[in-house]
Amino acid sequence: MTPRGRFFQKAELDSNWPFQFLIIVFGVVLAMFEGGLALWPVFYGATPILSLIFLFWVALHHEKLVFLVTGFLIGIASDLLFSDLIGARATAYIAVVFLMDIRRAKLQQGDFRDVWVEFVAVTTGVVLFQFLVFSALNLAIPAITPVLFQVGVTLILFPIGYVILTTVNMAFNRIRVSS
Amino acid sequence: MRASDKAKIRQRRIAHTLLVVFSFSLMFLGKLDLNALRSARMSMNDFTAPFVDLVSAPVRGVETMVQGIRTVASLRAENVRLQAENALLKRWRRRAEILESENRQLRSVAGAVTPDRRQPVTARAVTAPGGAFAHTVLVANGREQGIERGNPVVTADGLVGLVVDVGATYARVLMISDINAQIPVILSSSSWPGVTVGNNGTFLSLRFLPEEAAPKVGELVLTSGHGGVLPAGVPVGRVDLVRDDFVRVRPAVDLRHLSYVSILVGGTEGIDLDNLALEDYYTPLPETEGTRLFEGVNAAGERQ
Repeated sequence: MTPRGRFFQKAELDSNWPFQFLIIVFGVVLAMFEGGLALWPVFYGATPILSLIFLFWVALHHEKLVFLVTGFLIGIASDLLFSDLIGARATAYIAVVFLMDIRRAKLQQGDFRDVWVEFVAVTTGVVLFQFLVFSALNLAIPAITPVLFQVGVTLILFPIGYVILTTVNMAFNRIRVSS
Repeated sequence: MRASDKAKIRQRRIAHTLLVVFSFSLMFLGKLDLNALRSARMSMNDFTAPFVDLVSAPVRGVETMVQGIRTVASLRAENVRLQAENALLKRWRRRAEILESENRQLRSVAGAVTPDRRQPVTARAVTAPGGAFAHTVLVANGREQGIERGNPVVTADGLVGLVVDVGATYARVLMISDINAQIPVILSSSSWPGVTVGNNGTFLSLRFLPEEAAPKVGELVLTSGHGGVLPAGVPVGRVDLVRDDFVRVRPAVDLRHLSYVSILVGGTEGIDLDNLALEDYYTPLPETEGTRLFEGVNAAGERQ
């Protein structure tokens, strides 16, 4: 008997490509928005790393939507627009995606506190990596206060970002189910 | 685990590693300051700056609203302050007129060189420094408006920075607070030369002051014009703290509230801005000179 199942599968509609592309676009827009936030005197020189919150959340909950170059492209966009070190954030973001590949299963079984603790480690790692590379390449140590402020604000905003992203995700799922 | 799955994981890991190596090498390539990379970056900025501007619009809107509310709340106090400031400015204007006349007479005696003619071009700041690792800002004017690399960027309060990259319609300004910004300056009252160095923070540090120099808190720090890239006499900041050998300077411009800036175009003819060698730029001061006004002094230390 000829297998006919494949003719009824929604192969084209189930493709992850459009979503993977959208994730990259949204991440880049968030990186641009980060730069926009710097226009606020409060965040001058140290904006929250919103793109990292987004990347972390997507890598944790939607691993199939995280393309191999997602972290790289979001990071490089951020580097090209606002940083002196092209590739520093991109490298750190690739590492984050890689780390999440390893840690995902454990984190998905844990509660929110575990996720937050993991995010603290990830954010500290990303900023510390940039700090070390920057200091080594410029042979000078930048002011520490903005660095600490940036980490602190990002960590404080993480739960808010997490809840917003989860809510939006649930809303999307509802729309998909009903349609 | 199936063999195909294992192969997929291996492929993914190899791709990851290659990507890490690629982006890591980008950092070093970026530091080499290659022309190709610089122009690629500016082309990218030219393309994305309008989007950044669009995305920043809500933030700018909220900021304007907050400022509006604040202004209304402090209108009465502001009026009293402005009246007092106006009276003070009138006194200063009278004094400036007297000093200007005195200055003109002294110049004719000392034979100092008249500052180069520079044309101000007004530009809007599209971004602000968002990270702790670079203090640069994109401004909405570029090559098409005559902007060149090395053009000084100022506001009415003083120096903001220097144009470091120019695209067709956008330019990137290295602010004086950036760790790579080193501005040759003099202390206004004593005329001792030094160099302000940023640290990607709020303040600058004043270095390479002669041992005899005794900077005072509140003393104005001006550009010396040494090297010819920056005009002389533009306020950079005021001495904020003096502790042993450490001198801290608060920038004259509130860099957190930049909206419009003036780019001073021209006046750098004959200076190779693409190859500013450190030894050419920071030439030792001419010891035989009786004056410490450096404008018009070329790399060899001679007056042009």
